[in-house]
Amino acid sequence: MQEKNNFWSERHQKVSATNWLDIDKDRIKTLQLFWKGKVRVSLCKEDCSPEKWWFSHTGSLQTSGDSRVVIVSRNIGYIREGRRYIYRVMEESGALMFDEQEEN
Amino acid sequence: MKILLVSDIAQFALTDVYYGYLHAFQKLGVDVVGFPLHHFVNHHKENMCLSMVHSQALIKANQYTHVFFIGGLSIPPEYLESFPGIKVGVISTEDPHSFDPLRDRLSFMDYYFTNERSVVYSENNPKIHYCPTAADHTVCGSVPKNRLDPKYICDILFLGAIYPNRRKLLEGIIPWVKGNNLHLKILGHPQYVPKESPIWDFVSPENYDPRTGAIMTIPHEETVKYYNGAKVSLNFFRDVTWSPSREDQKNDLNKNNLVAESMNPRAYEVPLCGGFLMMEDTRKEAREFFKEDQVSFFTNVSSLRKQLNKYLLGKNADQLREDMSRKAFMRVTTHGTYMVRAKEILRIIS
Repeated sequence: MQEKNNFWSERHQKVSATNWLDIDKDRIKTLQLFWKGKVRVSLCKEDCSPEKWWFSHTGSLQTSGDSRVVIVSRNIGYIREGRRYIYRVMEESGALMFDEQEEN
Repeated sequence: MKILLVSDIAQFALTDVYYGYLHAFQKLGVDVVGFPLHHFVNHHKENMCLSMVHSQALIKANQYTHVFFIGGLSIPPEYLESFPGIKVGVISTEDPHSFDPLRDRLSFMDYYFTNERSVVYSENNPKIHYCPTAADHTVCGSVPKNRLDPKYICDILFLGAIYPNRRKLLEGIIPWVKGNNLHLKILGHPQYVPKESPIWDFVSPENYDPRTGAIMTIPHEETVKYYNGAKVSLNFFRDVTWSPSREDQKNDLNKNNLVAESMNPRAYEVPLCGGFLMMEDTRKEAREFFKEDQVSFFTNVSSLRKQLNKYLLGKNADQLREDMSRKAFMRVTTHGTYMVRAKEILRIIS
């Protein structure tokens, strides 16, 4: 299943920025993050043993023009034993960083 | 629990280990204060610096429960036992090469975290715990090559001290490198290289000034860019029988001849920078930690040339390197960061 933007959700009967709400996270076996058509991160259920998958975008609101959100980074990861493991790809440069945080 | 983490007076790799642990403890929410001894020794005498550590640790209001020294070789034995009511530990970085002086200090400390697992097997001492080296995820990361300054770009990179065993391997590939018109970059500490060695032609001006002979250390943040800019980063392990500090060049700080099985920080740092690692196959743990679809192994000059040929000039070489680097990156993020090590230390001392 691929991420879609400006997505009309049949389930929720509304347009959402992404189709994330329609993704059944329990069925995810591999979570991949692409940048410019290439896989930058690939997380497999067998390797990570995630209790929960996690994905997000970091963005900033463009103040001029149509006030759309400009994506700064795309992040995927998982939660395990109270810690959140994050793989972050910067949208502009493609730089990849790993981070680990306490899950609140 | 409150930890005072003290760096070693020596800089270079030991400083990176210090910051790696400091960042990890901080990220884990541990009450930790860093004491960068390596900065203080530039301005004060060594014993004065150690007195400052001592005073800070013993001020009751600071409420330290643990003092950990990175490296530990420069800490006098009697000093280690002068912290009443505070647990003292050493996080070693040079085992087994320089284990003997630290073995003599074991009775003065509460914990000894060794970077070398053969030390744990040979000593059978409950104070000794295995804590391998690692990479700092707050510093290491992957940057696309087109974002880097050209000075960081090369085909083959060696970054580190050029000990005689490393020199032989590097000299062994130079004719092949020249024959294939590849860009080899050597950075680090070339002071052990004889003047007539062809290696000097490849030592970068960023860390060596041929006019003055000055050697400039490459900061850790810069090494990250070099690892990112190289198609292949070489990792040769240290010959633990060699020492530059003796006339016969035989290391006398490992009299029990403990075998080196564990890896150096570079083995974790290169993959965490998304770099492609080509590693000498002399450490048992390397084969256990990495699979062959994650890093490339070589045993001698001939197999090194063969591997370089495959991963630089062979069919689909770029794709092969990219796939393997990605897998190695994932491996290190889950098992080879200072966060992983710091959690283990906390488990032991809690």
